[in-house]
Parts: sequence; C-alpha cells; structure tokens
Amino acid sequence: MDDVAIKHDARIGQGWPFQIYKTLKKFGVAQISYVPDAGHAELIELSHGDRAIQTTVLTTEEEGVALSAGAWLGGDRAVLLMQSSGVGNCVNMFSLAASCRLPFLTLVTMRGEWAEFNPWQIPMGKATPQALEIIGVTVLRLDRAEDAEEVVSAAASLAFESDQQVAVLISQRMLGRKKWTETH
Amino acid sequence: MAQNFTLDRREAVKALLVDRGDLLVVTGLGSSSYDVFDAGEHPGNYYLWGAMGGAAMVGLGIALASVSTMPRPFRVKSSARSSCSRSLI
Repeated sequence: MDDVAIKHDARIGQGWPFQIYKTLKKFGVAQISYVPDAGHAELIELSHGDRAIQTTVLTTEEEGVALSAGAWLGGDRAVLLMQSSGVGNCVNMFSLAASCRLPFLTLVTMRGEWAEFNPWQIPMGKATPQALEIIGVTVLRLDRAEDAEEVVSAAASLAFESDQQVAVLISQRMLGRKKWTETH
Repeated sequence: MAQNFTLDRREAVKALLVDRGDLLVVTGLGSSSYDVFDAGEHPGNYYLWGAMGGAAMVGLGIALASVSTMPRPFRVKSSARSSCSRSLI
C-alpha cells in the first residue's frame, strides 16, 4: 500500500515528520521500531495510524538493530527510531548488519548538542557520530526541516539500494528546545 | 550410585530438529550455532555467530515480515539467554 494514512489530527501537519513519513512510504518501509521519544512522537503516531506499517516498541535500542535484520531476511524494509542516547547501546549489535552486509537505516534525534538542559545527555550526544562511524555506519545530518525529504531519501537509497548501514542524525536545534513540564 | 541428570545439549538440539520440515531456525552466538549446524545444515538456518542478544529479535523481524510474505513456523535458539528457546508461529 503506497497511500499515506492521513490523520485528522490538528497536531499532525505537513512538517518534517510528515515529510519523513512520506519518504519512508515511498521506499516501501513496512516495519518501524522505536523507544518512546518526544522528538519522534509525530512520526511514531503516523506509523501507528498506517495499517501497512508494523510498529514494535523496544525495551532497548539494540533490539531494533536485530529486528531490522530479521525484517530484511523476511522481505521487509525496516527503520529504527531512537535518540542519540540509544546509539551507544547498539554498537555491538551493529556487527550483525556489518557481518551479514544487511541494509540498515536509523533516524536519530540528537540530544546534548544544542541548548541541552540535562548534563547526562552530553557525553553520549557528543560521542554519537564517532560511535556510529567506528562500527562502520554512514552518518548523515539533517539540520534544516526543509531538507527532511532529501536527506532521508538519500539515506534510504544508501541503505536499501546499496546495502549500507546508515544513520540520519536529526539536529537538536531543528527539534527545538525541549520544554519540561511537570505533571502530577 | 548417583544418577547423572545432565542434559546433553548437542543431542537435545538434534532431537528438537528431527522432522523439522521447513522450520526456520535462528541461532545466537557460538555454541547454539554449532549445535544447530551439527544437527544438519539446512537452508532454513540463520546463524548469528555474535551480536549477543539479537537472535530473538531477528526472529521477531522475520515473523512480522512473514505475516504477509511467507507464513511458516520457526524457532530461535540462543545460548546468550542460557537455553532460551521459543517458538513464534
């Protein structure tokens, strides 16, 4: 099914998450795995609303690397959504995609790089591009919302057509300052 | 004389895979890969000789994809989670 699932929800607009969603649909992505993340919330919601996409909630990000491998073996294209803090959890699991030369695509919302308020996010945020590169993952940056379709499309081609392991790092500045509101 | 109740893993895996038909099997790490290979090479085997903890999720990915493409039973054998063996059908 190539049609995008249009949600009648005021929060779902035509912004970059929708552009990413449309691009993933164009590439026939049929599985999306994730851990809950505010930056990816809209894309996750769009995926849940699409009957042609199977969503899997993970307990740790590395599970998504293995899930993507299985999806490919079964004939599906998959994408892993995570935050930069999860990249370090995945490093050994990337040896699966590297050893078996499996396509792999992840979209990573960055923390620890722009107006970060949580010091614990800084070390992994700073190490994220290097951690990916030392294990062989190609890193692309998405810094401007208007580039979302082009960058994700390029990443998907590299992954699914050239059998590469690819991460798109989505700039924290583009995501906007995280607003922390307490709820009781 | 004390009885020995130790399970011979290599033999147990062979017994599990008797008459496997088109069962898909994903292994995790060295020992489970050697066990499954020793039971007989099969096009339905996929060996993870590393990537600890990945076998069950590789199985889930195949299962989710198989819903539409090629429904068939399979089993994950992983030594990383001691003798965790699960069937996802």
